[in-house]
Amino acid sequence: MSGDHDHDHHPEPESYAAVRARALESLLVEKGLVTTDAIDEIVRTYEHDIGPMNGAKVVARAWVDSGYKRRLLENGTEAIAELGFGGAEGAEIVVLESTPQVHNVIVCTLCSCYPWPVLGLPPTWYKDAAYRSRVVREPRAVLREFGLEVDESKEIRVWDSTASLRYMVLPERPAGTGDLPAEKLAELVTRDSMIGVGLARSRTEIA
Amino acid sequence: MGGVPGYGRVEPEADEPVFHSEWEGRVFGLVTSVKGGLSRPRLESLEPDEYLSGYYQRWMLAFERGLMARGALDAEELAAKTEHFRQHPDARPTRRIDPALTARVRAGMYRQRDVRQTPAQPPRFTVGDGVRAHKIQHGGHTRSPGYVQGKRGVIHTVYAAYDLPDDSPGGEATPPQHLYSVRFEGLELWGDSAEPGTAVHIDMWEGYLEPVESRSAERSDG
Repeated sequence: MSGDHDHDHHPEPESYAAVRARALESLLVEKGLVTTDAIDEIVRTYEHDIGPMNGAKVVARAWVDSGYKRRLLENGTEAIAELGFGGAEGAEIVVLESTPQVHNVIVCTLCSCYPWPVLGLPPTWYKDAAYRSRVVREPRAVLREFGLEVDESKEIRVWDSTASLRYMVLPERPAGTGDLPAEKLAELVTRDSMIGVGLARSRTEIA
Repeated sequence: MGGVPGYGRVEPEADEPVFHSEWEGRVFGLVTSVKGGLSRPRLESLEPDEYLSGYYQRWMLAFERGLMARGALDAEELAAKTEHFRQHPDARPTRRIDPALTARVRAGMYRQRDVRQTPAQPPRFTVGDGVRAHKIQHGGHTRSPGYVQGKRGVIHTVYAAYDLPDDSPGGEATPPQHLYSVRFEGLELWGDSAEPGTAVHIDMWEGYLEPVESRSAERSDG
């Protein structure tokens, strides 16, 4: 085992799932269908290299570069590839701009489709029944549970990614950040703001 | 499960790790690198308690069954191996290292796939067209969510054409179809219980949709 998992602990007698997973890995390795180091590499990549820090760079670049933003909204996949991101679950990425008039939020009610190259693997709540069943019917109530109150004058647009496309939200740029460079702006961009259940942080939150 | 009541509050976890325990990461690695195991139809064919058992639990179950269905895995050998590891908590899975394969797996994670297809026909609908989502009768796998079937919406975006993963009634292959983002107003979907100023935009293949007249025209028809 690679041994670099910082949450690699076994607090209790092993769960059945953990035992079953070891049996399954062992059999598939013995059958020559997979190798130990390939699995190590996949785990390492999604724990360290592919995550919301990628999407944050995309958003920050769009905030400072209007030409990039235009390309991003026209063809998300290509503009995201300009920054070196792409791959599994990212064949077609559509970027949704939230504005003072429209707040966008993403969901997959059928399973848990999610734009891996820019956001990494989805959090558990995104995959759970509560979010998937409720956000299409009562998005304002769900966002309130995340601490986000959206004024009733603002439309909430829920995007249910049921097919070949994956969506990410371009959140509104926080006020008073005109002087910040893209690297600092990226620190304001949270995963939740790119799903649409939160806003980008204000600069005082990272000071 | 869009719109289905009864699931309670959303419970975000602060500073959630990518994998909650080691086995989740191993299952993720297995499922994404061994082809022909996991599929959405197979996930949806799990029993309700199996489906709700947790994300990687259901992945593992559906993956095992997918491999068994194609003869790559045998239920008895898996049961025997599981019992072996249950009795030997310190035993590790068999190891095999292949740097060349790992390099290919790594490249695969970043490979950009072109999933756009060439359709036989131009798109049937244009932006602004009124549509109704069919009620899907065949009971097989479909990517048309139940909560919009029978509801009226408007074409918001015309996308490219893509392969359709649905089961067809006769099991025959379905040619690629144009995909649309269809806008459904909250009021249309949920009636009086809808929250104000909300709408759902859903990706739908052309075959899920039929044209409808505008609302005012329908009203005047009585």
